[in-house]
Amino acid sequence: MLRVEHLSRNFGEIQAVDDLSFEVPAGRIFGLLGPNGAGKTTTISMISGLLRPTRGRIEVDGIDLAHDPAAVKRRLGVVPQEIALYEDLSARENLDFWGGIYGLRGTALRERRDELLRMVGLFDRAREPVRQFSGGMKRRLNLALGLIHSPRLVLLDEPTVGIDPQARLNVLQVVRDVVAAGTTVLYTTHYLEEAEELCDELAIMDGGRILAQGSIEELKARLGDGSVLKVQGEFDPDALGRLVEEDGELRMLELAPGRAILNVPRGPAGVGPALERLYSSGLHLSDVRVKEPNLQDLFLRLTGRELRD
Amino acid sequence: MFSSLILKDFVRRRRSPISTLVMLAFPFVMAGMIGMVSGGGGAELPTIEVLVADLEGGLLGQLLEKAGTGSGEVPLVVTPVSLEEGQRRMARGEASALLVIPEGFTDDWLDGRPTRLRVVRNPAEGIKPEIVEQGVLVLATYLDVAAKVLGDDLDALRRMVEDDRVPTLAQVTGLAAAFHSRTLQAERWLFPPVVQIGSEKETGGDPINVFGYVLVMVSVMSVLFVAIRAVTDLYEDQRTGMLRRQLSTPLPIAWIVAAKIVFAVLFSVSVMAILVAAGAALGWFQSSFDGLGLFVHTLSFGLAAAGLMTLLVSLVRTEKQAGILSWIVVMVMSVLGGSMFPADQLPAFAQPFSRLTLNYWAVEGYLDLLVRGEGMGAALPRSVLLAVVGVITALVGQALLGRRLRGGGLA
Repeated sequence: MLRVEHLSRNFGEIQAVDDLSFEVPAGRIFGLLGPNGAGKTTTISMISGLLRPTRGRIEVDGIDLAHDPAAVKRRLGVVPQEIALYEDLSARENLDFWGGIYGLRGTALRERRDELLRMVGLFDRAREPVRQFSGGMKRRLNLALGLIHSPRLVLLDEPTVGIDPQARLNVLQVVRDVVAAGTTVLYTTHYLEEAEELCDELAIMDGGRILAQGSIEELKARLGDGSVLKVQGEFDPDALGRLVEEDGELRMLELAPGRAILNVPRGPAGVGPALERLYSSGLHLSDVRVKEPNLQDLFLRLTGRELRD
Repeated sequence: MFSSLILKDFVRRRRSPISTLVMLAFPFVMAGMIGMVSGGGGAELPTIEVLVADLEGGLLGQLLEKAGTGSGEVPLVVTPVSLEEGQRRMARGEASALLVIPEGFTDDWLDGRPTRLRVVRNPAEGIKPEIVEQGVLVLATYLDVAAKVLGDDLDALRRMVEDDRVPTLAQVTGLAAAFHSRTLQAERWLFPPVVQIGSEKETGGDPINVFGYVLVMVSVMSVLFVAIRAVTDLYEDQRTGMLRRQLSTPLPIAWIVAAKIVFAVLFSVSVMAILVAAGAALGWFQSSFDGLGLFVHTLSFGLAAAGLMTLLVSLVRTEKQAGILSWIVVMVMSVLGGSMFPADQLPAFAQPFSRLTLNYWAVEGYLDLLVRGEGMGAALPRSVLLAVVGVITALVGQALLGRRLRGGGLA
């Protein structure tokens, strides 16, 4: 459904997106995961035709965006990161307006509008001016506007930023429902849990580049078949670094004064023996935690820093 | 698709009507205030109340008292008072002026000695005390001329009046003959008068109504502000992310800008139509006017207002700049073009600049149709000019704004 090839965009000296390539099959959710400034929104802007790429090619449903932008845009539903609504209009009027923009009229528009209002849980508040809505309600309506014309590909740019957990669950459920109906979704986020929970495939971005790409399982596998050990205490970081280097079994993910994150193999030769070796080396550890590896750990390993909200 | 963009803006205006209501109310407030100050139109002249303190109890006081019954052409009401009462009533603001005729005035006049009449003006009033003062000045001039022309005969007249006995027929005819002779001698200088003052009332059509006049002037300015608001919506759409969202739809950029211009035209026309309809309902305009001419002129003016504002908005980079520039342009055009006061009242050097403003052509067209009672033929050249300006500015503005949007949007 979506093919992106060698996509780049410069803003003067700044390389916002650098040689991005990925492909999203129909009916799948593809995630772009990365911190603020990673290039996710710039990528979305280029795919939605708002920004001309410096290099590269975008194809939606087999149509080249550069050759026929109107045909591509008819297939796209864009849900921007900022809440873009007419606050003096009601939810119904907002949906009617955007439906009208895509040529929907009469019964077809009314039915689709009401279906979406029910889907995002705003049917009972549909006649109120949007300015009276909470942030979560606005987010949900913001999402519904991008779906009014039943697009084949939906671009969701951080659709859950700044909303409460309940509204977030609603948004995620709507995305699942949309995909279940056959729509393809490109989803940007910097929330790891969301990406893990929602996306079939994921590209981890930083500095305008894709650092890793694949299914969640494939990405986690890059951390090795082990556990993650987080240690804190009063120790010499250099001494711990030398120890890990000489150990052969342990892999350092992050090292900072007073704390470190290590990857240790599963099984009998795993956490227990590793801790014994650390203690016996004379390191003073005050806190030790063991957890399953996640995308945060992968991001940490790829970039050397944590992915923060 | 296109109609959705326009319809949405109308619904938004209906939902947030305050700014529109202010623009609708403003012309009526101004017309009401200015109309009342200047006496409105077609109404009776206000009565001028004059107090006369006649300290000598002579002929002049009696003549003035008889003249000031308020029943003549000039609605003058003269009330004889003592000096003290006159001063008290003036202090309370109960009259426009107090005329004091000093003791011995008639004797001094007849004897040819300098004398003076004193006028005390009511400072709270503007025009009426001025009328009284000018009237007294004219009276003094008449008395002066009469004293010079009639000379000794006036003295004979005084003696006749002061004598308790009824004058004989010979005295009366002798005096009349003397007056006639004096007048004939002075005829060469007196008649015909070098300056004659004549007045006549307009015949045919309704009288010009000041309220309607001012309403037209201020409404034109108000509609220009409405057009600014309508076009600068583009910046608001940009600020709220709506423009970006619209640009991600299949709508061509040219349509988005064109829809905003069309909305500005239709909204300006709607506001002007409401103002005109309300003015007509209040009876401030001619009782019958050319509806087609009015429609054409309103449409042309709406187009010109929207076009010019689009052009102005396209020349700047930010919403703030757009607001400041368009506000300055509208204010300058309003001053020069007849929305603040009639353009023909401007100094001569400034009058050619009036013709460079939309206000001038719009106001004159509306005055032709609504106030002066003329037909479409009189207003059509002004309407055509406005329409041409509107089309040109709208096209240029649209092209510039479209280019700006294609290059990454508004600032």
